[in-house]
Order: sequence, then C-alpha cells, then structure tokens
Amino acid sequence: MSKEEKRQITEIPIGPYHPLQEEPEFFRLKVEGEKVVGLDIEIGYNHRGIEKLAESKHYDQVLFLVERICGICSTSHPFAYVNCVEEICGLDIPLRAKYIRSIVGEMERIHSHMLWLGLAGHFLGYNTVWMWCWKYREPLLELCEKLFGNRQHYAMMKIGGVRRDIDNAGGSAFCREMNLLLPKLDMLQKAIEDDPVLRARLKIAGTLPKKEAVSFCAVGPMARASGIDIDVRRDEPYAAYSMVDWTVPVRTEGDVYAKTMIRLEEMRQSVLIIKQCAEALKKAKGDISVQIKEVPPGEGIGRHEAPRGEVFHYIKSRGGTVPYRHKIRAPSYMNVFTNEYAVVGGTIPDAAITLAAVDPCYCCTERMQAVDGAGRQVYTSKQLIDICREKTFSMKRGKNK
Amino acid sequence: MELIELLEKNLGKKIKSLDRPREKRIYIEISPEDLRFAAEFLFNSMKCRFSTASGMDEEEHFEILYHFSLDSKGIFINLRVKTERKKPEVDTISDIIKGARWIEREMHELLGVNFKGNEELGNLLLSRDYRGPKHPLRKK
Repeated sequence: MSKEEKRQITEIPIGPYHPLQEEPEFFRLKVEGEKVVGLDIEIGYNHRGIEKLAESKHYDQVLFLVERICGICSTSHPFAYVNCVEEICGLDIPLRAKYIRSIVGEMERIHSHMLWLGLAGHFLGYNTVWMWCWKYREPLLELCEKLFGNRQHYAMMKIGGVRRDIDNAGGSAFCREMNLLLPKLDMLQKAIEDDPVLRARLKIAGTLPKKEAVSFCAVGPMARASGIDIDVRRDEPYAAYSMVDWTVPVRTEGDVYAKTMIRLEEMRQSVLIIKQCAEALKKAKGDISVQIKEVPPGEGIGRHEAPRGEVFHYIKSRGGTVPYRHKIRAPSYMNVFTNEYAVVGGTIPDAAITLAAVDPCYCCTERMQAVDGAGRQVYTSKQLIDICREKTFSMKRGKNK
Repeated sequence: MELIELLEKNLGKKIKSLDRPREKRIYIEISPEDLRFAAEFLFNSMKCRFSTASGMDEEEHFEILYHFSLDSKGIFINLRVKTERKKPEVDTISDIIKGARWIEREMHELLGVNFKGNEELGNLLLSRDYRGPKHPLRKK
C-alpha cells in the first residue's frame, strides 16, 4: 500500500445550521488527524432572489428591499444603492444629508464590529469580552432607536438625501456617547492584548498572506489585515468622508489577531468621524434632501464601505420606474471564499475562529418574545409592534432616560 | 487622460468602443476572445481589483460587465463583453483571478452563460429542488 493510500481523511460538516455559525453556510472540513487539509464551501441556503425582485419594483420600493438584504449591515446596501441611483441621475445631495449619511454609516460600523468582537470572544471561550461588547453596544443601539427611529433597519437613506434630520440636541448626544465609548474601546483592546492565551490563539490562526488576499479579491478588514490598503470611503469619497479627518488602519500579518486589531482601530476612527460630522452638522444649514422626478436611461455603480468591506451595486436603467438590471455584491461574497486558503493547514479548533474572523453577518433585530409556562405567546405580533413604537416614542420624549 | 492613453496603448485594436460617462467610470467594449488578455492586463499589470461581474439579458444578446476597481485612483474600469443568445459562451477568467470563480458559477446558473475552461460550474445559489424557470435572470 502506498503512502498516499494510507492517508485517512475524515470529513467534518459544519452547518448549514450549526450552533457556532449563526448563518446558514455549509463548510465541509476535510481533516487528517487534527490538521485541516481541505475545505468545501456551500452557500445558497438563504438565497431570496432579491436581484430578480428588484427588477419588478419602483426605485423607491427597491430601497426598502435592499435594506432587508442584511440585518446587521442594514444601512450599507441602501447607502450603496442611493449612491448608484444618484450617479445615474447626476445628482448632488445637500451638505446636511452628507453629514447625516456618514453618521448613520459609522454608527453601523461601530455596533457591527462590537458584535463581531463579542462573538469572537465567545467563540474562543472568553466570555468576558462577549459580555462587555454587548454591554457597551447597547447604548449605541438605543441611540440609533432614539434618533433614527429603530435599532436596525433605520430607513434613513432616500434617493436625493436622507429621510430624517438630526437636530443639535441629537448631535450633542452622539458626541457624548462617542466620548463615553473611547475608554471602553481602550479597555477592550488591552483585555485582548494582555491576555497571553487569547493572543497566542489569535496570532497563529487563519493567516491570509497578501498575495492570496489579492488573488481572492478580499475586501474590507480582511484585505486591510493582509496589507492591502483599500477603503472606498477614502479611495472614492462620497457622503462627508472627504470633509473630515480620519485614517485607514492597515496591518500586514493577515492573521485573526490583525483582523481583530484592525476592527478595533476602525471603531476608533468611526468615533472620530461621527464626532466631526455631528459638530459640522450644527453649522450646516439647509434641506436634507432634494426631489428627483425620474431616473434617466443609463448605468451607474454605487458602493459603500460597509463594516465587512465594499458593498457593490450596479444598475442599468432603460428609463421608466423600475431598474432593468440590478446587480448586488455583498462583501462576504468575496471574503467567505478566502477560507479555502486560510483554514487549510491549521487545526480544527482554529478553524472555528478563522471561519468566524470573516465576520459573516446575521440579523439581530429580534427584540423580544414573551411566552407563558406552556410555551404559548403572551403577545401577538401587533401588540409587540405597539410596544416597540411606544418605547421609541417614550425615548424620543426623554422619559426613558 | 493618462489612464485612457495607457489603456489604448496596451489594449489597442482590441477596444471596440471606449466610453467615459463620468470621470471615475470607464466602460470598454471588447470581443469575447480578447477577454482573457484584457482581464490579465487589468488584474496583473495595472493591479486593478476584480470587484464582480454583472451578467444581463439584453434580449437580442447577453452582456457581461466585468467590474475592475483601480483603487489607487478610485476609478472603475468595466469590460463589456457581448455573447450571442443562441450559444452564450465566453472564456473563463477564474484561473487568472480566483475571486471570479463564484460569480462565474452564479452567472452560469442564473443566466445560462457557459464559461469555457471553468470546471466547477455547479449550482451555487439555487437549491437542488428548485423548480422555477431554468435560468431565472433571463427576460424571456
């Protein structure tokens, strides 16, 4: 028997519905002993035909459709979509709307990275990080609810501007919350840096060299942790990103530790952006949106640097009220694929955090469900919606604080 | 106009038409047989990042737009390839760019375009028990 035939390869299925992976993706790990020697990825368990659906909806309706592509990056797809439609229309939006858009985008980045960091801690058995992240993320979501109207799915974007204004008190609330957040981010960073076990686990896991990241066309923090200096917000500025001071963090190691540190630094940069935008908003007078009458024939590309990387929207218009073709590419589409390289050669325990380091996203909008002892629902969905509305109104009136 | 000159110098007669509707967007139409050369030039020589590709049914033919991002300048260079409706087929670029493997599978599945040389054109998004139109993104 040859040496090759003696190899015993075992397949370990992870997913499609696995307690560790919140999203339905199927990873088939091929292992030899403890070592991962191959990986097959299957997706498509959550395919909803959104591109096809968009071809049958009015441009305004598509906005609501794309907002529901993702629960956690709920504003990223609308952001790229409005950029795309405004490009076709040749539209420049009011200054005030630019600042508000950037604030919404960065609030989302912070709470999304917080969620990833918490989950990463949880995956590694470091539940203190998980609890801290959830604790410090909550005030941000409450602020979103108070000022945008919802914790997720804010519906702030609108072709030609934004849907709701942020007054001076709202701007001050952002600055206050950001000042409170900064020391917490330092604390989280120290907790990770100073923990020898965590450091050792993250340092050796899931390395993606620059050459491979380029070949796989990785985007976002995945690319920036592997030494690729890209960020749509800087490379092709939109909204208010060219009007405020901030930097793009880049590291060269390509391991999970680098991906963690990149996300922590990005949160700090988001804090800087939000504070500057909130201050500038107090001086920027005028409307928050402009009216558009129709979308002319043509084609356009819109993108936005979402927490996970570049969101890409392409629209072809033949005139009329619906897009002729609407192509959407989310960042995970490029990043999940890199696991084929990053996981292979590592061990099974490292595979869990490497797969999670891509930050596949899931919806955290489920707010509450009350059941009695027999498992029956106490509230109907209508009652739950009424409770949610009442809470939002009470927060706006300042009674909840 | 330095970039346009560079493209014209290297792609030369392969360019069927070049359109720049906005400063940051360049659309270049090429023949399907020149796709691999152009993709290799943009990806390897010009260090563009392959963002994705959009396949669409233009009724009389199929069109595929390969979106390359020149991140250092924030410019998108889009290669437009048209393929006939009777036998929609273009060469694969997935051996040049690993990041194109999934999107070629997706276009094969949803639009029914064959990518010559890509060995793994199995279903990516649709489930095995899918019973709808064979290629859902086709208009007719």
